[in-house]
Amino acid sequence: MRSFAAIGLLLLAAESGAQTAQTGGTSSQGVTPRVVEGTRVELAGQSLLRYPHFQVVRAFHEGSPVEMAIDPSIHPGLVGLTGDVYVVVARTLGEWAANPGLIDVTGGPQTLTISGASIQANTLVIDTGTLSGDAGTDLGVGYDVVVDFDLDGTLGQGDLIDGLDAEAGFYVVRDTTQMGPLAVKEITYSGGSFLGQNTFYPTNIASLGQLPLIVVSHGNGHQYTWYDHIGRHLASYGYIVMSHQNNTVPGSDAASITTLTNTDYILNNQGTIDGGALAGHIDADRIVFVGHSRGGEGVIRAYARLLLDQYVSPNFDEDDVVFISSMAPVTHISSSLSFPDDVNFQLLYGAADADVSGSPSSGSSKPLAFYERAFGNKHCSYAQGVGHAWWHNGATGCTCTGPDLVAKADAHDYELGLLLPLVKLYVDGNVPALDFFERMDEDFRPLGLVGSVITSNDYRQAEALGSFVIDDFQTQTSTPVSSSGGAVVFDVLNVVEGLMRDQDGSFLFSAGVPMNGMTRYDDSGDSGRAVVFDWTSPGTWFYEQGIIPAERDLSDDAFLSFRACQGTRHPETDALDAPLALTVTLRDTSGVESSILTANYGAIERPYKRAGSGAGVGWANEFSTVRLRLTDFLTNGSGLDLSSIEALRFELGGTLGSARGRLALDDIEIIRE
Amino acid sequence: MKNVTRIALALLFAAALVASVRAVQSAVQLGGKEPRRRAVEVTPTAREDVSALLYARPFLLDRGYDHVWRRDVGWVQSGWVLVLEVDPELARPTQEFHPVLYAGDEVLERINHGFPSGRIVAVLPSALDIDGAPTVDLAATPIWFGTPRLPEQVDARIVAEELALARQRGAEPFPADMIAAAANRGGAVIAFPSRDELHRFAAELVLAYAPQEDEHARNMLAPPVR
Repeated sequence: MRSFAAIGLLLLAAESGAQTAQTGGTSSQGVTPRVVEGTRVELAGQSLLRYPHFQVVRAFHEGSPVEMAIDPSIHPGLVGLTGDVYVVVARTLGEWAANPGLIDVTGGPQTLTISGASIQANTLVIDTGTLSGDAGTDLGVGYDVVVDFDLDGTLGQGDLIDGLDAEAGFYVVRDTTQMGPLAVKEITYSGGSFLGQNTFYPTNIASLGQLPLIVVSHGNGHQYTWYDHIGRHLASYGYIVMSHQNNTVPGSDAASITTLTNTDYILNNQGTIDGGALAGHIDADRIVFVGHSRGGEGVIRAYARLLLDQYVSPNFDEDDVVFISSMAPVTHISSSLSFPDDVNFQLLYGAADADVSGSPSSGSSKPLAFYERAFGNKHCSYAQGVGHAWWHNGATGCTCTGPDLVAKADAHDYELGLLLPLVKLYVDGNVPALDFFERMDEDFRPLGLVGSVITSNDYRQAEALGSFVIDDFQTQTSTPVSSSGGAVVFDVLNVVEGLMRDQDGSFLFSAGVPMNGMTRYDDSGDSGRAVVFDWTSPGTWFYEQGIIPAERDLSDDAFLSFRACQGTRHPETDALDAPLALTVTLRDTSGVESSILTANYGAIERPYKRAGSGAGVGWANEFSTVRLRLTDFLTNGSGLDLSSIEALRFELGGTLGSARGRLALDDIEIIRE
Repeated sequence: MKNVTRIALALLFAAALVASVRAVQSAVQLGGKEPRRRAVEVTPTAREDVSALLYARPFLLDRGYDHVWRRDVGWVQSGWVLVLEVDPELARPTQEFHPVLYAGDEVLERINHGFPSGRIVAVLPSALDIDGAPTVDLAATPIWFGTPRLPEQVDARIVAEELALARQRGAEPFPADMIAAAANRGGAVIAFPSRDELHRFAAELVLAYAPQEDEHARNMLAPPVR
């Protein structure tokens, strides 16, 4: 969400009447101007214990308090003013133009006098958790926040508004682990060999128009009737879900064919399946592939087949596949034939998987490699304690090994609690869904997911969106130079840049295998690289990336993003034996610095304490993405000049973060919005 | 040569043999993908792991289909439907590599997994002679579990290697009386329009011979769309 101040917005209706929403009528009589005035700012968010003391967020769970804050150092002209704070149902620009009146939905406006002291002094709870998140089949109810300084009960000049856009000021979301409002019908039928299908759709489909299609492809030894939990969940939110008989025993390549033939089958036969109930209701332009295990690689391979014209359908092509979720996939097929390319992609995986184990000694069990291969919008959702079988709903054991094993119901909460916002995001363009992925897991996760489940959330927006990459370690492979050409200086220990490949077949750490725990390389087509280093106690340490002069103006940019993980079974990781935090500092060309501690938002988790693959405990390294709003570094008048940032420094030890540890960093970038 | 020396030499030989087998197994586990050459694991004999032939019936299709159970994709127009008694642990489904089921120079198409039932219903492609008998003579065709890999990665070269290794280890066809009994239970050649009907027939055999896998069979027998 952008953070900017706009002074007044003037709308004019075009003479052709194209702006009827704003004008409220046709323009046959000419132009009718409507003015919506107010200053647009980000207000809604949540307070933090440490600097920057507040973070703007997009989404809140139903029942959670909503806060707002004003930084007097950003808005000095407001100091001393008193305004009424309203929370209103979100309106579009046209709706505000038609009706600027303020109707508070929290029980009445509150009064706020702007203090010049700090953002903390201007932080207010604007709702205690009373707002509804019931959006029906949609996700998130939108609300706008208005600070009415002229106290006239309308949005007008001099007032502040968070909203006034296609995107609301904030959203309240219901628990995504819970079923949606629609009743669901389940049918099972066969179109012939390997065309058995178990399909779920809303019972009122006749009145719903065209619905997106979710295709579910099972794994080896699984049944296509074992994904009813996915079927019921998504169908209750208005989707058609078809889980099909998958030809997995020959291998993932054969499975990829059945993903495609079954998609064609339901599209070709919607006029006869279930008496034609689906006829005309399947949107072949919005297809989602969900695959598990061999089916997890199968759906990736199926997409690659479409890209490579190795399968040509009369009904759909690769552009119609808008999202792929791959659950614990194997890596049997060469990277040149099995790759997500730039499709929206999720890798879902459990650290306790005893089948697709992720062991570095396995030649076909490197699911994390698929995340590294993807270059569209991509997500890695990784859960400790979850076994292979828990992604389906068959009456089997968990196929798991390790401590603190997660129950099936909790694994399903994680699976479904994230799958729904992902589908909403990539199929329907849902706005609040993105908060599940842009924010660290401890900061925002499915409401119904029990707190004891430890998960890591790795997310990167599509490379095509053009962020400024400070360092992704893919080029300029010597440690003193970043991939963007900036100088890298550090006093942390044992700094190594390299392929994310654990090449000795063991999770036991040795100095000769600095990328220990990096099971993100499967074959010579995998090229993901990162940096690793460690530090010890006592003392403070740093790793600093210089920003090249041409890219030092960050004033129009939105976020700093990077991903980090602890190095499994390293002596410093074992000595820390805890989640890890660090401080991120920006320094401008005048030497002014501002720092934020990542513990505000979540933790870099300790690798899952699973034994095997060498002495000790600790499974694969678990990346988490940290995303910091750049303007947060200005809070309370830090004096930092975002237009002239010369360095980004990661600081560790002492009061700056965890006292000791082994850390990997990757994809350090500036997000432009 | 003193007995102690003989014993020591024998122990040394045995240790070397075990080490070589483990080296081969390790190479298999680290092995990669098609089309790289893989080290071949020591194969079990047919008697221990594919212990009996319970049913055998020739079939013929009006419309054939691709035999995708090998890299050099074949064609199925006719052949045998077999029911085999196997070690269920070798048939346990996994996402990683699992032992491939071979018959002579062919990879068997498995209708069910064989776990936990220990019974596999399989299709063995074969031409038919002018009398309608499969040209693949079960009396001359060993059936065995081979090296763990994906069937879709197997080609003629790998099949030949596996067959040679199986014969070295003593793999033999089933006894004539067992084959005769199985064929008697199966009966005369049966014709189907297509794979669809063949698979529904095979699913009924799963229900009959491997009832522990009835869910799999019933899912294959889902009502056809009309």
